Amino acid sequence: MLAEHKDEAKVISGGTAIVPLMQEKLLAPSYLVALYKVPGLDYIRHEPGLGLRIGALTSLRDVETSPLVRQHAPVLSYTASLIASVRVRTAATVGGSLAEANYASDPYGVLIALNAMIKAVGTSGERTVRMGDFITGHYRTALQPDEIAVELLVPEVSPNVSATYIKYTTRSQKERPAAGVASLARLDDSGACEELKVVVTAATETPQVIVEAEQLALNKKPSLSLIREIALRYSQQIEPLEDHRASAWYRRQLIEVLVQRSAESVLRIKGE
Amino acid sequence: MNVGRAIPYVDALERVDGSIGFTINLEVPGMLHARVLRSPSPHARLLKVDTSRAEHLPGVVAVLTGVDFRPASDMELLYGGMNGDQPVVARDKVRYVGEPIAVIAAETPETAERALSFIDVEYEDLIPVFDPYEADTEDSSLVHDEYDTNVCSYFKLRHGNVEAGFAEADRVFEHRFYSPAAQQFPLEPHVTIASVDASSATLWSSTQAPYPVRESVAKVLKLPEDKVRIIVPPLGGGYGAKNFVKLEPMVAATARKAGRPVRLALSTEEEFVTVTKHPAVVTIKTGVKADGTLTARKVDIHWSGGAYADTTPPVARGGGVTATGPYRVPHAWVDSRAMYTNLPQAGSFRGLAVNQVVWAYESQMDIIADALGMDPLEFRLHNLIDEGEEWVTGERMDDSHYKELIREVADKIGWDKPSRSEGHLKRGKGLSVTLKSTITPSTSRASLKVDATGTLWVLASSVEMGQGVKTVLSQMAADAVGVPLEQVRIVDPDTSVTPYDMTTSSSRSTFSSGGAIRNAADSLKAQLLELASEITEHDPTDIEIVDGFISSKNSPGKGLLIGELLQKSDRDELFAEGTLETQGGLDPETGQGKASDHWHQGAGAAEVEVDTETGRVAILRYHAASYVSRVINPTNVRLQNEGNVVYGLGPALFEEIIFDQGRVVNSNLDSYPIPSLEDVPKHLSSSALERPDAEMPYGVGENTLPSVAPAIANAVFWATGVRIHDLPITPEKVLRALRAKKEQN
Amino acid sequence: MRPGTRSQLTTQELRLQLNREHRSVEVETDETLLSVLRDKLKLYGNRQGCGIGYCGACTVLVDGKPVSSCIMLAVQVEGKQLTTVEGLSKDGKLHPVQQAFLDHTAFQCSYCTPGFILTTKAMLDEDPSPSREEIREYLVGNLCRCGSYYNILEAAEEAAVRMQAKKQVASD
Repeated sequence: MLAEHKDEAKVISGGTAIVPLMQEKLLAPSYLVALYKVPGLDYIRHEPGLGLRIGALTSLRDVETSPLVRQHAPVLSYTASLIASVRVRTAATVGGSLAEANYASDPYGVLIALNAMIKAVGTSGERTVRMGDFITGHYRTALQPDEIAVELLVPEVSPNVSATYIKYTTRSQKERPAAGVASLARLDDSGACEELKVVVTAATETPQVIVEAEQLALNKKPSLSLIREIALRYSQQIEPLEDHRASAWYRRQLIEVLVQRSAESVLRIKGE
Repeated sequence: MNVGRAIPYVDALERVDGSIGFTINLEVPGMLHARVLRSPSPHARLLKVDTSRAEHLPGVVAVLTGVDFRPASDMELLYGGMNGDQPVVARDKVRYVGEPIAVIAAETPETAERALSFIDVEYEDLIPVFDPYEADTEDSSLVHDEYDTNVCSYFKLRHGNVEAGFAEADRVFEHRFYSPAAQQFPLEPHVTIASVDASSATLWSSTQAPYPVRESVAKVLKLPEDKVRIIVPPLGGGYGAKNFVKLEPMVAATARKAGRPVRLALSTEEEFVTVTKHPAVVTIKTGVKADGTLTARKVDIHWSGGAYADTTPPVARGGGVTATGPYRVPHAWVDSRAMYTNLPQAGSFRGLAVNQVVWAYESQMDIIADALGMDPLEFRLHNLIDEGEEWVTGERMDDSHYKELIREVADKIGWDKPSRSEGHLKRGKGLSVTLKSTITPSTSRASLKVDATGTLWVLASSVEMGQGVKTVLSQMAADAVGVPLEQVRIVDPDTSVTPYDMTTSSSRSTFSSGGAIRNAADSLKAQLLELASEITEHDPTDIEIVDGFISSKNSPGKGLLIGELLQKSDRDELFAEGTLETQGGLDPETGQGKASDHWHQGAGAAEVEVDTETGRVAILRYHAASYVSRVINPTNVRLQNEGNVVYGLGPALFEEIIFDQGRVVNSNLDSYPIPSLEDVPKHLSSSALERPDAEMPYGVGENTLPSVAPAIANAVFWATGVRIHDLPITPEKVLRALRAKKEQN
Repeated sequence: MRPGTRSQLTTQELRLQLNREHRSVEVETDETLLSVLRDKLKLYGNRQGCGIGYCGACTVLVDGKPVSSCIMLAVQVEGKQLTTVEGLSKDGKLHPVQQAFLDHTAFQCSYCTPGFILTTKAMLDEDPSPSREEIREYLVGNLCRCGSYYNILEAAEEAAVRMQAKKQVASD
């Protein structure tokens, strides 16, 4: 249907993203494809060795409260609990929230840090997109017009991994983030860092990773000064945007502080 | 005895079962749905407004534009009790983005919405003016050409000799403070339904001011006032947004043109262009002796009033007269100038006009205390007025309790125990006091009626907007006449039935309508006693009314229920009207006289924790105190005192309307957040101070709101040494100030 | 309500269980659930607030869980169980959550109150003894402009206690 009607058709799953846009007249589709009627897309499974498989029509509330998610990817459950409110999470779906691609959102950073993938289905078949490649701009994703997301795959997380998400708001305590930092680290038995992922979200149109800063940590025992250097590079190399939540200058300060705090947490270093 | 008891609200059941009737629920048979075409330009001439295409759409019944108000027509274009400068819809010129140009009335809301794009308008852009200082210059563009000036209202206060006062001072401090526009944001929007025929009109409206609305609608429709009926169901929030006249003239005019009832309900986005809080710049100059005694204060306030006067004159006055604070200031000079600007009209906002000046003077008090090395509490106690002192208007301030209030909040916040800071998290405490006038002179009338069923009817035009006025007035009426609360019924304001009341605002209803009810009760009781005396042949002085039972004082067991008395006397009802009028007023050149019949007094204390790496301010504790004279219902007082604090957190910490060339950029909750459960301090408490011998209750609707922002700013200062002058106190502003301070050192 | 500006509007029959009653109502395909509840079914306990799903005044329960009816299309609840504030009292008696809100005066203008009551009910049906922090989190999506939050928290806590007590009595 999407292929046939192209721009005239839009998908609706929970409705929490698209209905307000229709009310505001920003979108006036001639056809709404009722995804929520499609059976078999609302599930959370764990396949040992593979990871968590979450159907696109699963509600955010179910992701938040799922014992499987809490066990296998607790940082995802925690991050989901920060999104909006229980009421919104009840209706909002995983697929819908990811495909909405509002830059001021919470889950993208954590999913990138966890190497999550999205399975998309279209008229030309099935394909998998890495979370890091999925968000291409504000309200833009890598999905083709005839594709829909059907599944979120969160690969198995190794046991010695520590992950966290910091959500920062500048106005009400309860609103979309002005900046967010998701971090993940794996330390070996000697305490040296085997892997570090730091993803900054809501500060720019797409999630930001500064690989050369992450790599500074590799094979070293983490220290405060090392983390400070990583945080500095993140703040220097990201060009934050300005919106009604924060100025570019302020976001830059936040990036440095939040990357510092987030990295300290996953690298298990106490700050001053 | 009901007064003083925390009884459940008389309308509590409808509130929890959802059956309470708001105006937004109402339907009138045959009613049409209206939508408004609004100006995209902040200042432009209207060259052409062509509605012919819209009028021909199926389902469109009428389109109202400025052309319908030609001199010979049956409608008057301009209304507005203050300056009379408000057009029902724009004609010739638009003066702000969002100004109504045309109103479409159609069979369905969707049709009306669609028809908007079928109206063709041609504009000739004019230079807009947004800043009140710029508006106050000779070269400024004029918002109202007919006026030659952009001054909407100018209040002056001259007391003593301010230059001599500064000369006596050991130190003089001058600072500037800014408050931006904010939105009152009632969850129920403005809604009006009008049903109009050739000789009369009936309106149901979500308004705080039925009588001013009646006056304006009557003027616009060229009808006698008593042919216009305004009915007001309970409001889903008001906070000043619904004070005075808003949609009513527009909807009434459209209904007349359409020949059918018309309903208009605003969207949230439209609320933002209907009325806002006044942006204001306050420059305050204070002279003080080395021992901390204030000698003089000079205040300049420039308010941005928006395109039309609405309630700007009382704002200029209410803010101007209180701009020096509840302090002993022998020499005072205030210039309070409210300018027309090409922005949506600014109007009543809870804590009217006082928020902006308290922000200034209470922030400055701590700056001065710091400079003098004095404790901010001691500094205030040294200068706050005492009972019965003469104030900057020359009036005697009777019933003043500012010292008590500030001591109360300081005590409750643990003022003597210094806050503990840890690492980058710095803690501090701050105080603020507030004084606010109530509309003076003012008039309220209320009526009481008993019928043969023994029911006591209370008829008052005070509007129920959640402040519990129906409950409080019922308690007062029950006690004043001597009937059980269960026998009291209070009706919704209805100008054909409930007598004149100026407005439900300014925290005045408990005092004014309550006072009028007491007066009516005296008269009603006299009638009841007289009637009882006729029946029983006792002297009226020997008869008493207790719990709805009329009996002789000597034999209290033998008597009649009120209903029985009326039945026995063959009377359907007894009726009494009471009035409460307050006197006062100020000289227009000097601001001397009597500004307020009595004063609303409040204070607040905050303890904050500032994350000095991000600038984020967390409110750990807040205690609010309010002088209420006499508590009628403790539950109600606490809800108001604490509700005010929650409400005040918004403009203090994050609420700000952002304009881009006059266009509101953030007009709903996704971009204009309001305080949520998470924003409420974990420890929020309040006290209500009373006088044991007080007869009359004072209002509590606003007392504790204005102190919120300065108490927080002062706490931030004592925690970190940085001072924020411009609201809201955002993390970014705090961080910038912290960085600047670090650079200096 | 303000749907898109298409020239063909289609309507369909919506079947659902509303407050334990089977109902059938004709709705437009792009009509919101709130619009159907208010304009078609005259159930005004469901409030028109911000219109974008933020304030929670429009909260209803779908299969026992809270959702924003202003941003849900009516057709999305086909075949589901819907609970509004009008359906809470049983045999003329208020639901314990409603009673607790009344007893604690957990409101001022009460425009937001049905939304809070329904959300509290959903919370207690899911978790009968939440901590104050958990209550705060669950209710955070409901806004009260009058600022009655403290009384609301107290009422929710009381409702939890009373509902537990009722269950005790019922099981004894």
